[in-house]
Amino acid sequence: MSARLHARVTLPLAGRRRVLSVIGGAATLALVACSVSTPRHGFTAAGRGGTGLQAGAPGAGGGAGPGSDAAGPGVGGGAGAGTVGAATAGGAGGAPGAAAGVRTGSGGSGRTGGPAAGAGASPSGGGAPAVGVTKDAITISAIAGFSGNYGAILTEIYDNGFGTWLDDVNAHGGIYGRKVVAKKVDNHDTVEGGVSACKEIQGNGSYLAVSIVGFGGADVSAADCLDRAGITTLGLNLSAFSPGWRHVFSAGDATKQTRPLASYIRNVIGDHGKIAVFHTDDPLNTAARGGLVAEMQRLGMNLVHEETVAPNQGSFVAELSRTRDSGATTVALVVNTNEVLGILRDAKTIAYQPNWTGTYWDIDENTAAARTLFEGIRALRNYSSTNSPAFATYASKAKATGHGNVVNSTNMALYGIGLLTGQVLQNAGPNPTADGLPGAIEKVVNYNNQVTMALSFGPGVRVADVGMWPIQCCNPDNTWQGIGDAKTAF
Amino acid sequence: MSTVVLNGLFVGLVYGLLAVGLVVIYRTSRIVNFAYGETGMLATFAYFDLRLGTNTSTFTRDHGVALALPTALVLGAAIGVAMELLIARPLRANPTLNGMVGTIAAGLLFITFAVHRWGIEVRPVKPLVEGAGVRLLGLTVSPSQLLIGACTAVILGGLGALYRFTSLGLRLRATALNPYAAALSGINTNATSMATWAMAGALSALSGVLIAPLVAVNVFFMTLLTLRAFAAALVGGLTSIWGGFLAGVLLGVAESVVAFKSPVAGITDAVIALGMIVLVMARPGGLVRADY
Amino acid sequence: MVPVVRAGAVAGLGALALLAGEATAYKLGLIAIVFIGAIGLHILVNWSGELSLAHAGFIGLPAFVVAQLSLHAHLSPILALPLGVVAGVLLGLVVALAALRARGLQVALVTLAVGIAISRFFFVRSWVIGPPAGLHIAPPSLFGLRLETSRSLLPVLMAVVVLAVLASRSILESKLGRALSLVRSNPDAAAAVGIPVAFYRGAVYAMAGAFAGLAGASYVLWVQRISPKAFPLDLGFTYLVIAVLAGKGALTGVALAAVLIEGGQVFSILPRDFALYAGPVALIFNVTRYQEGFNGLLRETRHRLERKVAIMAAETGTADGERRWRGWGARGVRLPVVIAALLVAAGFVAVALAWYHAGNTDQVWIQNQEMVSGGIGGLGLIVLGCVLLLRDALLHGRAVVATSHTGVAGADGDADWLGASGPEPPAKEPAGPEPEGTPTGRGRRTVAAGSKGRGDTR
Repeated sequence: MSARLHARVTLPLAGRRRVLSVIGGAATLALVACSVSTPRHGFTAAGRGGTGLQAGAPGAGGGAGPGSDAAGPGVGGGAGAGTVGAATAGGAGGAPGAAAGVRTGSGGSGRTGGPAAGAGASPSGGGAPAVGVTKDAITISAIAGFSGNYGAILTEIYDNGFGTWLDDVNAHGGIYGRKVVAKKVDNHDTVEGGVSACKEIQGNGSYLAVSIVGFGGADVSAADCLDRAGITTLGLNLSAFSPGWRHVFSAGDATKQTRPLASYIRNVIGDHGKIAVFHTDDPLNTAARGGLVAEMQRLGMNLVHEETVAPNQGSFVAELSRTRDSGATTVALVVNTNEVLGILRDAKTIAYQPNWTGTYWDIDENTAAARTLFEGIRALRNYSSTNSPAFATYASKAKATGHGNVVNSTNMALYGIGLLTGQVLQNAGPNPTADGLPGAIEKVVNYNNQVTMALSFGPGVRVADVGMWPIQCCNPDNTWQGIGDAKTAF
Repeated sequence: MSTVVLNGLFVGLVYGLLAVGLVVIYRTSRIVNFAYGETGMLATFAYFDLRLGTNTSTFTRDHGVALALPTALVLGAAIGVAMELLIARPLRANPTLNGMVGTIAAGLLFITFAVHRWGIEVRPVKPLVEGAGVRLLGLTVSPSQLLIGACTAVILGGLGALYRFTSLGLRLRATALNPYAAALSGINTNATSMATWAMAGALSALSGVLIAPLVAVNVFFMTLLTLRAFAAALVGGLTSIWGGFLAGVLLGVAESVVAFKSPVAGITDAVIALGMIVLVMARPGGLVRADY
Repeated sequence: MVPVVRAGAVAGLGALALLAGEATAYKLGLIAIVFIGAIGLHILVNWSGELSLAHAGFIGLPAFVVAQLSLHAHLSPILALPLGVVAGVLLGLVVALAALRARGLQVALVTLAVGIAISRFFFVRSWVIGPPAGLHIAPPSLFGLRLETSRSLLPVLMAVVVLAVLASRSILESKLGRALSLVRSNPDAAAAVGIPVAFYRGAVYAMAGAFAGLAGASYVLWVQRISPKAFPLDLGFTYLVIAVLAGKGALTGVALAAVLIEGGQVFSILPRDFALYAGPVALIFNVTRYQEGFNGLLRETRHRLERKVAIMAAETGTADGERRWRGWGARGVRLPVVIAALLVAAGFVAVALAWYHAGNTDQVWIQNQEMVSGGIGGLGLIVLGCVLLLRDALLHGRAVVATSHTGVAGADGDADWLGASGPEPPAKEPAGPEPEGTPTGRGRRTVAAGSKGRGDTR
């Protein structure tokens, strides 16, 4: 008994020591682990190809690891370390007990697997095949608010409009023999949702990100995050453009969309007199108004009065009264659909009938519902109309690809965006690379696919010049009628 | 300027009308009905579905005002009764804050359904009464606005008469003043409560149908207006019908004038908020007391 | 037992978060931010029975303050977090002014007006919201390390959440919390007892503002981009739904509700329509019938569990019931031990994963972030696990008493994992009052016994 007692008495002491040793051991191991993963040599950033977060074969490709003084020329390049075996040798030097599967410090782009050619490329990674491009497929991500308030409509026009282009191009062999894979990414129509979309794209292996539309600031936040991650993004109808961006290309910038409106007023509507501008106090329309007013001043036009309206404002009598008092004969409405109906209705109430014009609100859905309000209005739009030949082409392709039951101008607009995307992918050439993508977008010069707006980038241009379609109300079927070709200035 | 004041008067009539409905419910159930606007919105959209004024209608022909308007009123009353049964009655013991939360939830539910069914775009609608309107003080007063004015007068007069001259009105006033005593003296508080909510629901539906031709109509159109009506009702201490109505009218006029004179964005809302804080600090019971 | 389970669950979730990918970690952070904001509304609604419909504005305006300061004063968002709290408190005090004299109903309407005013007045002013492109803040840095990815920022956010939870717990468990409970259930009695009801009601709005401000500042820290569209008025309704569904009680219900609602939205698990309908319906049901919310459900579950254990203990005798309650298996493996072991293992896995990821990139900034999130975070988990193990050992380790307990089955087989033996049957113990079934009780008993015996090993 005493032996047992003794044993029991001593065990707790041993137990305490045991506990301490467990803690100590754990701490030591953890510290060692942390210190090992501390990089000790600078690595060149090999552009986007080097984001090892996106898996790929571990440790393949050249380069030495931290803790190994043989780093030198192995950085990103393949000097003598193009094969997996050599990399392991180089990398294992610094890591005590590195398990086979864990290749600490076998730097280089984890993406380029076996082929030494890829691994041995120059640090700029120009020769490395890009993310999202394989032998048979090229992947893009399309961002829109598929679960937001407009989710139902956006899903429909994306599936049918963009989908028509997608199915059509794949049915004809794809682009340079590669099938186009389009991944739908949801930005929830919120600022944080846009960032969420960006983080998804960082991990879903896309070559190009296309931001179709984003309300609630989602498109700008997504573009900003994608820019920071170094992913080339084609932003359509971005509600704002930040000058600090390096990888975002804006097609249909708000300020450039309203610029043609100035000369349109002067030369097509023909008013050389007093002009007034209404704009809704939200970022998109504020930016658009800025572009319009700047162009009007440049052309020396007579802007006599301006009004700011709130989103969803109910009554516009005060604003219209003041505008009438100023003597304006043409009023440019840089507002949303929600406001335009009220403005036009209240103007009738106070018997004020200037020339109305503008953009953004001239959609066929509005004239279908209230043609009388819009009768005779001439405006500009960033996609063409149902009486253009392009519409007939689109309609036939839609039927051919099984999307024939929803054929209207809004779906056609997405078809046009698809065409634009296809042009960009085409410009990237038969061997697309990540670095070549900006150049592919810049090659879109004097581009007019007769469906969406006319665009022109150019070397070093990130915000395309935009040509808008002149339209008038209405066709007999209550859709807006196209009255000419898209122009950047009339 | 007079144009602006007149326009503000009509806008104020709308606020006042909505405030009256809020007060009617509060008097009886001591609940602020946050879903008041949404009730009217649902009924209004049903009305326009029947009349094909909107472009996502289920029906394919215009069924005329004679069918559509009563349907809307009945629908509004039905929604009111449903809310009374599901929210107000279980909370009769402790109505105020729980009731508010319950009606907020109901409002969210209605809006979700409406967005699902009709989308969030603005749609132009057919007015109740067509016509050229009357020219008054530089403003063409549309028939819809005149109709609102007329209906408001009738409604207020009718409510006043109801409360003062009918036995139902007496029961309503008694229940509003002291529900327990009313129950003790044999008034069927359940039926009275249901009647109140049904009346308020129908009133909301009528308000919605009258207001729709004057504003941008989307599923949120009543919500935005009702927010102003809350402020107006508060001035009336939430119990005085005339107080709430007059406060609404004044609010509309003030808003119009301020918007005309100095169009600083959002100034109305900021002033309303400050005003409410001051009011609640100074006279929490409202500026106007009801005398039941 | 329950605190250990809670701590273990929280740390376990933290472990999972650290192991998650970039997109998932980002979404988890969004849920954490909503949780922080909901804490404030929880105190307001469930503990003091008030209502605030301005919560979106309470979150948004401090967020803009922090964002502007970050941009113009070049202040790191991490350092600007307290400023967000201060801004939130000031906003809450504005509403508190109204609460001084008015009843809850009027104050609720005032909060509605204030919320609308913030949204329509401040969120359109360019000196508040910045340029139309919105405000973009540079990624925050800590001790010279730029935290560019969400995964590396996650430990910082988790630290903020822990701080918020600790702060709210200390508030609720203090005199203030008890006073609020009384004010909610019977304001007249509270006033009669001498509690300054009006003052406390105002203070509660300030507190709600404080947590909202913290949530707003965390939003800026996490998303690094801000626009007024991020704080619409119906965001306040979402928070209200979360708070009311949580029910009166501790923060577990709030966490559950936040995860359910925000998680469902952010991860798009449920079809959006279902979530939008289910929320208000559940709210109506909760307000009119159940009225206890998730906290109530959790309380019921816990009571049921405890009853079951008590029944088990009663029917089989203390020692056996003890054993069943404390652990299972012949060796009496206890739940806290299991949790702690899992934590340590998870910590090592996090470190290993960070190692692996850091080794697969040649970009220094990614390596740094892997080190921060996986390396340091994993180390933290290991330390936490070891601390739990140590605590368990200290509580359950025993010195053996040299009294007559030959042949007592319990003395031999009920050893803890360190090898010391278990409790003696109470009948043989001459020592004083013995609270049964509690670790400290056992410890006390055996310490008392041990002082009689050979050596006190404590």
